[in-house]
Amino acid sequence: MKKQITKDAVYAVSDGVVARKIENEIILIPIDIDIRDKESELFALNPAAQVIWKRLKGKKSLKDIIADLTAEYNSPAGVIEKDVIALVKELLKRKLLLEVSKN
Amino acid sequence: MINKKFDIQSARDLTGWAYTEMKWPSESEAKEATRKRNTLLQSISGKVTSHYNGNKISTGLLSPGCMTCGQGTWSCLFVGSLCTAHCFYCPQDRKDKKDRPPMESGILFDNPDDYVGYLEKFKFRGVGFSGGEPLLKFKEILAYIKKIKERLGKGIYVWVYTNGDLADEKKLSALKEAGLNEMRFDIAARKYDLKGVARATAIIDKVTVEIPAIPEDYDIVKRCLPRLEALGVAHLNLHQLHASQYCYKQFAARGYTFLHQPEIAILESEMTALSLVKYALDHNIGLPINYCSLIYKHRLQKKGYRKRYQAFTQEGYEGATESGFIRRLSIQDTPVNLKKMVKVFRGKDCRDSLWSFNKNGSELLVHHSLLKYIDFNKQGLFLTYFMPQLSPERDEDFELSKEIALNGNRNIFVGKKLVYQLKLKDPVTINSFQKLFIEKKDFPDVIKKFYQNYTLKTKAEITDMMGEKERLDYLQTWEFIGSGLYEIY
Repeated sequence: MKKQITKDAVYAVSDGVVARKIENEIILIPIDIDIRDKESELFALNPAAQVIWKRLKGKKSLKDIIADLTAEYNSPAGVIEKDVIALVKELLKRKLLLEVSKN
Repeated sequence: MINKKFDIQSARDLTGWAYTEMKWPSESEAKEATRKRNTLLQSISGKVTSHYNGNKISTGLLSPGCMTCGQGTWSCLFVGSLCTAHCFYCPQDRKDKKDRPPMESGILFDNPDDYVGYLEKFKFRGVGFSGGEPLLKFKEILAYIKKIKERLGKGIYVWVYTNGDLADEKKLSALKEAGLNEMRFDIAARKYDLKGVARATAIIDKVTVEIPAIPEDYDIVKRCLPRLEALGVAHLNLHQLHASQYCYKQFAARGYTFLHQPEIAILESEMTALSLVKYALDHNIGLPINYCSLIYKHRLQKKGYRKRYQAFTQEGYEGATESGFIRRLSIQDTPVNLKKMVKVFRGKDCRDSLWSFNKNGSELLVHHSLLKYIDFNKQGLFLTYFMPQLSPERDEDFELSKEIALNGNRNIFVGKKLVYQLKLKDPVTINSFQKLFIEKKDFPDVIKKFYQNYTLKTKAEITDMMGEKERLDYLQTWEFIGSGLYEIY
C-alpha cells in the first residue's frame, strides 16, 4: 500500500543508508542490497536534491522545510514544493527515508 | 548469508537444460509464498522448539538420533542400493539394478570391524543404517549392530530406516536383541500402511515415522496422526522433498515449485510440513513432530562432516570457520620483508606455531591473532578456504593428507581440499573482514562503517567498492552456516 505524503510529516534519513559525497554528488548507498529489488540500487543526489536532503533530519516538517527553502532561494513556493515532494516520494520508495512523526 | 546470484547460478548449473522445464517461483509468487509461510510460522510460534540456529523446528523432543545429526556426530551407513519400493520422490537412481556395497562418505565399509574403528576414531554418537531398503541386507545389518554394541556399548545410538516391506516380527526381534535403539518407517512408500509400524512398536523401544511431506498426502497424514500417537510412535519426522536428477521430472509432472537453494527443494513440501505441524498443535496431538528442511540438512549435516575432520588437518596458523571450513590467511611479499614481519611477531612474544612460510619463502601464513601487527596499507591479505574431507586413499588434490589407522588392517585418509581463494587489497575491506569474521561483530554495523570509510575519490571507484562489498558478502558462504528457513525465491 502506498503511503500518502503529507506536508505536516517529519522525515529522517534511514539508519540503513550511508551517504558519500563524490564529485559534487551525494551517493546514497542502502546497506542491504537485494539483487531482485531494483529500488535498492545506489541513488545519486544532484546539488539541488542535496539541499533538500540535508534538511531531512527528523526535526522539521516538510511544510517548514518548503517554507525555509522558498525564503532562502527566493523561488515560487509551488516549484520548491514540487521538488521536495518528488524527492521525498522517491526516497521513501527506496526506503532511504523514514517518517518519524506528524506535527 | 544468502547469495541469490550464486544460488540461481548453481541451480542453473545443477539442472542444466532442465532448468527451463522446471517451475521456479516468480517474484510475486515468492512474495506470496513468503507471506503464507510467515503466517504459518507466526501461528505456531511459541508452541514449537527451534533447534540449531533456527534451522529446525519441532513440537516436543527430537529423537536422540536426530540430536546426534544436529550435533554432527551421526554416521549414516548406506548398506546397499537396491529397494523393494519405487517411490516417485526417491532421490536415488532406481534404474540401477546393481547393488552397491556398504558406504559412508565415499568410503567402503564392508567389514564391521573397520566401520566400528571408524566410528571410534571420529567419536560418532549415532549410527543410522540406510539404503536402498536396508532390510534387504538384514544379516549384514545385524552383524554391524552386534559389533557396534559389543565395542561401543550404550554410548552409541543405533537406528535403521525401512519402508516396512520386510519388517517382520522375526527380523525386528533379532534387531532388538542385537541392541537396536530405534526403527524409522517411511510409511509414504506404502500408502501409509501402518501394519509394520504397529508390529515394531510392540518390539522396538522407539519407533519413528519418517516421511517426506507430500502435498497431495496432506489429508492422509492428518488422519494418520492420532493413529500414530495411539500406536505409541515416538516421533514423526517430516522431510522437505529434495529434487535430484532422478526425481525432478516426477516433481515437475506434479506441478511442484522448485526453489533456488544450495540443494533444490520443493516449496509446497515445506508448506505441507508446516501446515501439518500447525494441525497437530491445533488439535492437541501429542506426537512430537520434527520438520527436517533441506536447508537444515545442507547446513548442519555438512557442517558436522567438516568439523569432524577439521581437527585432523588444521595447522596452528590456520583458523576454523563456524561452518567447519579451514581458513588460511597469508601475505605475499619479498622474503626479506616477510622476515621483518616475523621479527615483529617474535618481538611481541608470539608463538612460532602461529606462522609459517611457504616453500620459497615468498608467502607468510599467519594466524588471525597476528593481523594486528601487519600494516595493510602496504599489504594485501590472501584468504584461502579449505574443506576437510575423507578419502579412501591418498588424494593428490588434498593439500595435506593424513593417514588414519582404523585398526591394524585398515587405513583411511583425511585431508583438506582448496575450495576458495581470494585476495583482499583494500585496507578498509581487510579491516571489515576482521570485524565480521574474526571478531564476529554485527554485520550491518560493520558494513555501514565499510561504506563510510572506503576510500572514494572518483565515481568510478564506487564500482570497486561495490565489488569489495560483494566479496565480503560471499565470504559468509564459507564462514557461517546460516539460520532459519531459507528465503523463498
